[in-house]
Amino acid sequence: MSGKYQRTVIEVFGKPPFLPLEEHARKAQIAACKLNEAVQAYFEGDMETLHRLCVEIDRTEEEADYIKQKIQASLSASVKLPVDPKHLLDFLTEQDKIVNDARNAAYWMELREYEELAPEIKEGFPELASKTKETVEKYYTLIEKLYKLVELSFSKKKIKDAFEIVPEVDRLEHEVDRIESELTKHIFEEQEKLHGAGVCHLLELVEKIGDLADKAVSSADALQTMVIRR
Amino acid sequence: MEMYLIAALGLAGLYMAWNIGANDLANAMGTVVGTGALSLRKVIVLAAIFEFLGAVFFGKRVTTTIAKGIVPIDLVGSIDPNLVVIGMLAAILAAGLWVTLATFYNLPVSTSHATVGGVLGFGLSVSYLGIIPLSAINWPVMLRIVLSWFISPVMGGVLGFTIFVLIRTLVLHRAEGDVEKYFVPLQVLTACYIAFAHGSNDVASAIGPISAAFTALGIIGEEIPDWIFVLGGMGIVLGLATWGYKVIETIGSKITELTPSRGFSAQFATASVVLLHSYISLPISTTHILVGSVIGVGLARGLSSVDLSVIWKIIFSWIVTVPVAAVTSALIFLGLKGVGI
Repeated sequence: MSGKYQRTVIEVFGKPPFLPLEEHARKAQIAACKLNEAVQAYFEGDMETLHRLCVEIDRTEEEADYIKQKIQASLSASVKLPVDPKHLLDFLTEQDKIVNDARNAAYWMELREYEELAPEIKEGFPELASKTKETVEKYYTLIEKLYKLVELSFSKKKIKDAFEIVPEVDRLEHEVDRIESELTKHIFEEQEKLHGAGVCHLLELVEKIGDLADKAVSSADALQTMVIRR
Repeated sequence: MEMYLIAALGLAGLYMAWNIGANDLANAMGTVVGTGALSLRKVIVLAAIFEFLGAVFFGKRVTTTIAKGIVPIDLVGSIDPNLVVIGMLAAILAAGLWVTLATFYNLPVSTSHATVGGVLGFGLSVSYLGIIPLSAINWPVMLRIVLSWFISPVMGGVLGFTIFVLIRTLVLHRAEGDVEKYFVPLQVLTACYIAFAHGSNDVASAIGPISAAFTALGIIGEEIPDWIFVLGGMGIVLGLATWGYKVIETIGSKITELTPSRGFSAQFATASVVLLHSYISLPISTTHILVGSVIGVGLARGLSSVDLSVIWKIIFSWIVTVPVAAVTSALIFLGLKGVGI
């Protein structure tokens, strides 16, 4: 700004981190969608599409990291926010894990190909990925509602209304858990055909996909802590 | 010679008034445009009217403080009226130079501080020359002024905080639906209020020194006539209309998070504190009080983010402004006197 003949009070207004937080959550949602597509492609044997989606998820993760760094940089000691910056960073860390988990799961699929799989497994995984995506999307609607409310310090009632989404995220995550257990059972039933490495690989994949839903729940918790303990 | 001095004083005063309108008033009004309560054109028209009214009807007290409250102008004038004329020209030139330099570097300096520094510099030089004793400078008033520079932004902060907490508790948290829209017409009122308050305090920086010089020359009597306030007000409005709109635009485009209820809180607090100081005859910085009020609203969790590092910049600008303006003023005064003007 130097060089302009102006004296302004602009500097007193810091860069609010809430809009970037929403952008960051959007990356998580995008990553969950792409992972869902990647799982569908993988169990149809379409390794080419899987690879393309892997690259895309990787890029999404990089973008999310960039936003995360921007938010961290905006939280210097002189900046005062309507929330505790420690809670904000805890929340951001949790939310960031969603994208990271999506990337890990996508890469994990690239490590191994399957010729033939039992129908329960072949259909179970897409079901798991789809439910996971649904959980993350539900979580995103919470963020969409809340970031504006926090920024404008709206009424407690409105914030309470927004948090009614949390039990829905929890419920979806339970469904993800249920699908996980069933898939695990089917994988062990097929252990002869799959061999040790196959069992290991698929079990780990179940974990990795389900992780996204777990992280959506823990992000929602961290968000609640941030907003309620203002 | 006298004609040239009068012309020089008039030009220097106009330049100060222009600067005040171009930057300080623009800052105060920019927050109104930022919340979208009023268009730029309407803000300028309202600001012009109320700045003018504030200057003409409520500007006398602070102007008198600057003109005669710090340096015993009547005493110096009774020895040699020319000293007052040259001294006040030096004071206003020094203040103008410093404000110009600081503005180029975007430092949040205050025109009031600079003018007080300039006048003080003149007082110190006449005492250095042995014309008046050092004790003739009104140190208690000087102390009150400097103290008010520390206290007034804090008052703005406390008031801004309180008003916003009240609004939040009584209105925002109780109401169903969006109540921000009800603050838009209120903001139009506070915009007028802040312009009026600004005019009542800041016009003194431009016309205080001129009034002192004119009194010494016998152009005006002991009572400062209205036409001087009219000229001061016109200069400020000119600054706003020819340059201030750019500053208003800059602020308006960047402060998007200031909703009408927050804007109202900060402006109402600022205007009230400024007007209080006009009433108790103390020249303060509207801009610093505005910063204090915005921080107050921010600390009441009314803003999504406030950056407190600007406080250090303001404190730095205080500490530097008075000595720099005083020394520059003294040098100009001694220089003008030295060449025999």
